[in-house]
Amino acid sequence: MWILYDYVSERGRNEIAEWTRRLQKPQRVKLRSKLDMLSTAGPDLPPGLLMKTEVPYIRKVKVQGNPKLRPMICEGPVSIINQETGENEQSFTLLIGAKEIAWEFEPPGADIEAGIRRESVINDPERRRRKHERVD
Amino acid sequence: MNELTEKLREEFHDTETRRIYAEDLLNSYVATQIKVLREQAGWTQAQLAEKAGMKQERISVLEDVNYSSWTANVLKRLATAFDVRLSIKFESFGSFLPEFEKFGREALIRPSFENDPAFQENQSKAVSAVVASDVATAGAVHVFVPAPIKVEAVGHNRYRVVYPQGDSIELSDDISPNCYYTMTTQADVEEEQFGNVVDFTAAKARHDALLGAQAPASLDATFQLSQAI
Repeated sequence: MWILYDYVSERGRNEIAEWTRRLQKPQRVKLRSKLDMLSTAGPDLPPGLLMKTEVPYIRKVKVQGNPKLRPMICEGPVSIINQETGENEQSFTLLIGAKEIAWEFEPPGADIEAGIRRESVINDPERRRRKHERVD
Repeated sequence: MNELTEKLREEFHDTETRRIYAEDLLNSYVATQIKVLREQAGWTQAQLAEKAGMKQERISVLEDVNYSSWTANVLKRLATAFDVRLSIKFESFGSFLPEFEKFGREALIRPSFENDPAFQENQSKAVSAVVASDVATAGAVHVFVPAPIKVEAVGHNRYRVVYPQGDSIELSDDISPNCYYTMTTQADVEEEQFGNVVDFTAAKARHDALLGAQAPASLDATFQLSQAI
């Protein structure tokens, strides 16, 4: 299993959970399905689940529908040793909620912002991310 | 039942949730299994397209977890290309949970008729005999590993190569030119929990690199077998 984390703002708000709550229910369920697939199967098996962006390390999760959801994620980005197995934990961090409308991200520059947030998580992983919150 | 499926069990009490979730997962299953079966056969998308009488671009679209407009006729053509049968059944939502728990390459692989153990009794025995013979002689012997096979991570730096008929060989990163495979019995395989499935070609290339050898051009390869457990 891959462990999912959510980005946490400077003020301690789980921005991924807040963005997810603003979505319509069908989109929330589809998003949950895709994230469960990622967590269960990892990034390499399900084809078309993740796509690269122009920003290094940042990938978008593809969720079809109206609107098209494109939350940005990165692998890790910090390495944690699992105390039970002694192995590196396999994880992804959701960095920003985004949509893709007419080939443009909403919010604009979401991939760039994701890259900046990734750095924040690297610098302070204890405060700037927490275990993924499953939003009904 | 793991934590995730326990949550799904609760969430599926909502009609809309279970309907949308199951449909989305169905699309993911179809796309992923097409990709897995194609890779199992060692084909490119273009090769599968040719065998199924489609264009490569069509295969690319079908191998996308977000694609939902496939039809039974298209899937039948792919089944024919893979030489497997297509099964379309109505299932209860309850059967979804254990199925999702096992989702992975191993659960999606299907032997073509040519490699189907149900029709391969003689060949299966022959390959098993070769392996048994090599184990008995120990030392630097070589075993032909038939494709398609699968490799699973079974622990820290440990992988298991599983033959189509169920026999398996374990390999480790604790590697030396004369000792890097051990063998387990089918009973061992059945008793243990399978780990994550990893890509065989990548695993083999990695071990070849450690040994200073070149990666094979195909899945057919000769391995050195030196120790039985």
